[in-house]
Amino acid sequence: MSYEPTIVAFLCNWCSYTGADLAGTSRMKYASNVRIIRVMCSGRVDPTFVLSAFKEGADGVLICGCHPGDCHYHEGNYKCLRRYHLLQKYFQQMGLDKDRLRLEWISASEGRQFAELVDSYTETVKNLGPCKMKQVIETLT
Amino acid sequence: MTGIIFTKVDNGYSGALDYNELFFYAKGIPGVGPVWYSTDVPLYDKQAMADLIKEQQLKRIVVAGDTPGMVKPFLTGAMVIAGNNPEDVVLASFREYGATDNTKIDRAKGILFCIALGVTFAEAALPEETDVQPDTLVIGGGIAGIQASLEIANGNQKVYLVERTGTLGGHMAMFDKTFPTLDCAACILTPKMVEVGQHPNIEILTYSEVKGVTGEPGNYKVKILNKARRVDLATCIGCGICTEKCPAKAPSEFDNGTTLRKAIYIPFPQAVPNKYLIDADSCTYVLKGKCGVCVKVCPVEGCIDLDAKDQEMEITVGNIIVATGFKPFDAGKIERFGYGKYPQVITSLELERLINAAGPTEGNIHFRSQDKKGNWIFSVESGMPKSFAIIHCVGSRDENYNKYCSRVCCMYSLKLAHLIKEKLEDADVFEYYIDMRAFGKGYEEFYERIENEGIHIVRGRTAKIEERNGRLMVRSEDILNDQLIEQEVDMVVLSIGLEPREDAAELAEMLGISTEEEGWFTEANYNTDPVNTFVGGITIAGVCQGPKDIPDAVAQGSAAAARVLQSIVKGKIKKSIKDMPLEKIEEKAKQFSNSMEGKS
Repeated sequence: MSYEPTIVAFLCNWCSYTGADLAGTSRMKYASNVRIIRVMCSGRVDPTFVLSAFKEGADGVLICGCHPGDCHYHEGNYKCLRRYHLLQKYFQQMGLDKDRLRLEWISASEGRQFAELVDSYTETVKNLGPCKMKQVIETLT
Repeated sequence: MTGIIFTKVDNGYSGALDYNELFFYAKGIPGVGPVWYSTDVPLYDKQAMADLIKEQQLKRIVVAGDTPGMVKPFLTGAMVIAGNNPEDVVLASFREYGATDNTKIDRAKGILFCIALGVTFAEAALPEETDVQPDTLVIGGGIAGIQASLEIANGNQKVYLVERTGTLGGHMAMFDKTFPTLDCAACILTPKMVEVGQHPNIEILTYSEVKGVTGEPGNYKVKILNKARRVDLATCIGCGICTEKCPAKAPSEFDNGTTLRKAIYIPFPQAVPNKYLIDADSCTYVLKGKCGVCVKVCPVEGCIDLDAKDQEMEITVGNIIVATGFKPFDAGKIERFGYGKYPQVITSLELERLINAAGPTEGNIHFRSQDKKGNWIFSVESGMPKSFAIIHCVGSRDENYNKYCSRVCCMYSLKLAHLIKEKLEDADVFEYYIDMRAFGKGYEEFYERIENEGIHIVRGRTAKIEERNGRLMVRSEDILNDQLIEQEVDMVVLSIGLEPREDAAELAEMLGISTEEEGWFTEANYNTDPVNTFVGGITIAGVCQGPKDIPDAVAQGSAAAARVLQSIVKGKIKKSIKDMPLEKIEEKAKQFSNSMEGKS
């Protein structure tokens, strides 16, 4: 049996979640590896959310927010962008591949783009292989 | 005794008040003695006038007319000489109380009656208050109607939202981005639509039309026609098998004919309610009497009923908000632009769908081409244009079509130019404008930004569009350089204006509200009361009152809701002045007059 990664996706309520909804209602097919968590804004995604996702056994984390300038709360997505860069640095220090975290902008009309993003990201994570974070933590404690 | 003097002004205006009729009416008012025209009395001779007053034993004099104040000083003088109180010369000004022409003669009579009895007209003709039904009807499920419904429903009041098409959203749902912030329109609108769809206080009646309104402010009986959807809303699970198998196709209304849809369809994937409906005009079963493929494949028994009939229902509401929106100008009317003749001449609304990521070409701009069956549609198989001309004011600011400015075209044209540049970086975009109307907050800045993005902005009207060497040639003037220019482009976008709906007049008649010359609904006061109409309990919101952009339509939707909530919270609503018959005014004036006598 081929390896199927588990991906946690944080989607903002206003653009990306609606975009994912559009992908669904338009009956677009995309990889079923993604587990969607709706947040009110991509700015709500605390770095610890991402880390605990890996701790719980995720192989990749996807964050989607409104396009720059479109944020329902004006600047939530910029805050998210800053945290993303911060996390990328932290990932390098921890020895995690930076591709395990991805940030993309998806608007409510971009159902197709969301489906394509999920497919391509699943492929990326598949190539990276399973994330060992959970096992490492379990053996250490 | 009271005397009445008419100051007749003959201004030769044919619709003016009929003074002869008023003259005879005045004679019949109780307590009134002599009635004269100002020309019949020695108005400017105070002594002679005073003698006349004494002779007739007048205690009060009413001066009636359009501008009665002019002769008042002469009469007060005469009254003093006659030994009376000069304050007993009172004015009955018809114009002041709105009796401006002969259609309002009943109001003029009422004014006369009240003043003669010593009662002010405003007091006697104050519209009565009646109880108001708590439910509200909103006609039109566009952004203005959605906003108004949400405001009222969030105030814990029941709302019926009637929408003619199969889904809420209106024109805004078709747009890709909004100006000047370039927000994605769906990101703003769809959460609101979902909120309406799930709101316990809102009853959505899609695919329905208002067929008749009777009753009075605070208590309207509204007849609503539920057109046969032929799919049961309650049991449809939205699986989509029916659409897959349906053999009949028709141009998609939502995509403005840029692509085809099936006869059984969902208007667009984010529709509210997200259920299927059958278009009777293209369904094979309805047209030819046999097919029924959708019934066979539908997994829910009894969900699709191809023989369903239209149904009527009646609801009782206290207030009505009219938010029927607009109709885009039909670009085919202007022959010189060749819309409908040259396939690469498209309207702005078509381009809007092309640019949208959920549109027929997945957000890429392609040429219009013919499919196998000969339908002109946009598909990803055809090539991409490299140069565009955007022509402003198509159907607006033109004596031959609509004289008014449609207000949004300049801004959305700039927005489209920006979006074209975003999709096709190397494309040449030419804008031809008459005047650039960047009137709102952040709009001028947006204009400057677009100017600096390398878009060629030409000032001048476009004369003609012709085909040359397989491309389109735009003949235009360039006012700023004082020359005529010709420009070859691949695609021409016509920035069409906004027009009132064809049946706006019909609806206005049904509701008793008035429309303007162009067909927009008339508000009570352009500056200070832009949402009320002259009919109590009926408010207007959105573009149906006049062209406006999204923020203004939303603001007006909220304002209309505030008016409705005001009456619901109070529990009372004012009837309209025009509902008050003359007898009623007379009766009230008598009552007031008697009670005043009792006091003194």
